Amino acid sequence: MAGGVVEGSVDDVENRKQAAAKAIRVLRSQVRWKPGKDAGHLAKRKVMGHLPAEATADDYNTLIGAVLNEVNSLIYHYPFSATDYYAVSGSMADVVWLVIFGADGVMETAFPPDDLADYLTKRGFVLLGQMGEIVHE
Amino acid sequence: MSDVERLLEHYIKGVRFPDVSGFEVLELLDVRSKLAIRESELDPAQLAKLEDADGVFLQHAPMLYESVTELGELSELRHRAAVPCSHWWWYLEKLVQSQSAEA
Repeated sequence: MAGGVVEGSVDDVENRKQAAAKAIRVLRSQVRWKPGKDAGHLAKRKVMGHLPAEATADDYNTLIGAVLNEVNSLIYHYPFSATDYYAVSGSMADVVWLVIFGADGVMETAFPPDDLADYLTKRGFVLLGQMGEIVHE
Repeated sequence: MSDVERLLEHYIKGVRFPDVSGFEVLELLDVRSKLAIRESELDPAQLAKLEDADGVFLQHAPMLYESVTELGELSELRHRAAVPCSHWWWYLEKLVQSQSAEA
């Protein structure tokens, strides 16, 4: 299991799981970005070589949707900011992506960290569990 | 491409996008720290590229700072990442403060 730490009271963790599931359902129905931010994210993904030069915003959103629909993906909570952020890690074509979003179901970013476990540990992400255990359709 | 070359390319390209997300700024700071540890593996041409990229980093310091502070206090972010005090790029608040004083 990649990175993160497990902590918090049972009630707190359960509330976080429910909030994450709610946001993931919103994103599964439609990947939404902050106004005007999607183009910048797509441009960076292409420059970094994470997506091919011909990739479209739809391609990027489809990849994000795939990570959010994968039952083996892992769900985390970032507990240190005023905004409540959640993250999902999952493999697509042998690349591990990290999808980060707010509790409102609006995207913050999606990128493949250089070292996922190291990244999650250094940021203090809290592991909530596996997608299939937390989001029930 | 060697691992250190890949890290250098990552830093050079990533520093061009200071306002995408604070979460990616933190990754950029991690990558710069990994480069610092392996700086002796860089040849003179690569060191010149790193210096140029650091120049871009300094130009973008205010935007990088704004992005990353949405995620918490920088001092706490540094503490969680166990950042050595020699890694100046992690001290964005001081870089921005210094630039403001010079302006």
